[in-house]
Amino acid sequence: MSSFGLAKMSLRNLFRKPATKGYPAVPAVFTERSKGTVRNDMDTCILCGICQKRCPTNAIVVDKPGGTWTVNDFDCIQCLSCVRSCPKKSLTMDPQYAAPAGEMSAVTLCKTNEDAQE
Amino acid sequence: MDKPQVFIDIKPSELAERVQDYCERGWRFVNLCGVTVEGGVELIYSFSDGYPLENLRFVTDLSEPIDSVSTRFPNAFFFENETHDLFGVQFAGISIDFDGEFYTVSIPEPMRRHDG
Amino acid sequence: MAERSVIPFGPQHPVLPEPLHLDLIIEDERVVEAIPQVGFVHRGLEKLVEKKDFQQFVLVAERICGICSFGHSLGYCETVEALMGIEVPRRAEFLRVIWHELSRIHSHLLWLGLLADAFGFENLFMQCWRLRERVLDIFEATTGGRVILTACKVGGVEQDIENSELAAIVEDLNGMRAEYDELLRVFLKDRSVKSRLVGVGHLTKQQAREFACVGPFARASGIEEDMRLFGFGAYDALADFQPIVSSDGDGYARCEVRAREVLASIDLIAELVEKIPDGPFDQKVKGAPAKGSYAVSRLEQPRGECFYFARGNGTKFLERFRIRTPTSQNIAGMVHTLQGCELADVPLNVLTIDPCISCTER
Repeated sequence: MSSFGLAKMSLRNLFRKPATKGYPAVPAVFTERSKGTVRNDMDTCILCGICQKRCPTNAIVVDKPGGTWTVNDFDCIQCLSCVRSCPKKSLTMDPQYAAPAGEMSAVTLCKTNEDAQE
Repeated sequence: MDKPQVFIDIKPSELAERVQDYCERGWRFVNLCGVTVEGGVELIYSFSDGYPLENLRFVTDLSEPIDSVSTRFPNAFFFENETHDLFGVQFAGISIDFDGEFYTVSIPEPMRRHDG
Repeated sequence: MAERSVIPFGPQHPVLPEPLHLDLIIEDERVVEAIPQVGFVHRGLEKLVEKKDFQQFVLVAERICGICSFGHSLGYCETVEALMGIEVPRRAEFLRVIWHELSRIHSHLLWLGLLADAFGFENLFMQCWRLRERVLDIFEATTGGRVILTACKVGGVEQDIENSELAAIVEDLNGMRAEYDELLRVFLKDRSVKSRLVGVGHLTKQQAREFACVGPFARASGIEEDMRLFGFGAYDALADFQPIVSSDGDGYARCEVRAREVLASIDLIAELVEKIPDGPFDQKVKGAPAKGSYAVSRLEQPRGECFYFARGNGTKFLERFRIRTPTSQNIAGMVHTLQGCELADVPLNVLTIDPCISCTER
């Protein structure tokens, strides 16, 4: 039986840097593999539509005739199914989370390199 | 090591006798699982004694209530109530009988439909 | 004869992270009977196998519960692999077990923290969760996710961990061990912990057998049963695995079993990292589960034995997938321990089985 078992640890903690970070003043640290948002390099994308088929939440829509590729970041669950199945490796996972927004919106990318918000 | 995959087909009437046997040998009740099949619901009872695992299976046509095993294995009440709510299988003499109030389901017997 | 009254306990209660309702029939301050009720978070995920194909369902399986997420994806994959007769590469089996043991460490630290919080030891609670954070950091560095790992798939794992990274994990865990030892001393020796836990919710070995309890709950009552003993996956590579058992059967014993399992898991990971073979980490999966094929599998989750059942129907959708979680087994035992206990001990008693209601209701 003992008491004050945590006294040493508590004293140590008094003189240590806090275990938490002052987010958002201090930016969050991401690792190489952290998951955030799906990005597409439209120069290498061939609009094959495999990512659309693999996506478990139907967050990706590929319009081949129109030449557009759309992802809804609010539906995306960051499972990486699309990134892993991409034959041209044009899809990548960016560690940065999707920014908070008042309304859910999708990001549409065009084959002509003009980004447009829908 | 391979996982044990022992499935024993029995008749519904044999269940009580088998359960009695497991109870006397000191096995424990592991699971009761329903599967929708043509002509009713297939019930799979699993019993285990450490590593060995045996599964009894039979098909019920839902016309008659199944005798509850919860008098011998108290933890079975959870699964019998669940199977009653999701598959519509009637059980007679569950130790804690919720009488269809175990889960709140918006459509009756949701697991028996295939249309979703 | 004292008057009887009924006190509703839950579904919202400070000690419960998840909704579980108990009707406590009490006489003075003593509980005579407790009637459990669940069903507040039933989501019907078992039904979803008809909508998601067997490779996509891994993602649903790991979202069943936030704490056991890796365990559920592992159990699902093992069941489907048994159904289809897939041999998993040896390296993948090791990686799976390493992640699984890491999730055991984080689950137990979470529980120890919650327990400390339940008996009012806030400082201890914070220290436990701070240590747990380091395990989550390891998860993020190796898989990219902190809670939902998306690391397991049918036929192997999604990504490799380099051998140098594995060595760094072991080093990190050994660094954690020094701090954890201090906490362990408090959990096992401190007067206030003991006075709150010793003798609470006593369950004998025979009762634990009768109520078919599993996991640390059963092991605290002296039942030497641990699915890891039976060597699924990479557990058969372990030289000498002994389950941690206590014979006291009260709340203190359950705390002791879980607290010691954290250390055992750290040792286990170190041993696996030493023995991990090189080679591929996944395998292409072709075809679909055959019509009328059955498979069951069991594995030891942080909370106890978890049972999985799957049935194929020849298409890429499974006919039926069933998960029986440790908590649904332990509820009957928990209700028994509540009978005759003081009303003030009820929250602690409920907590000592480590209830996980979202797993239970799926």
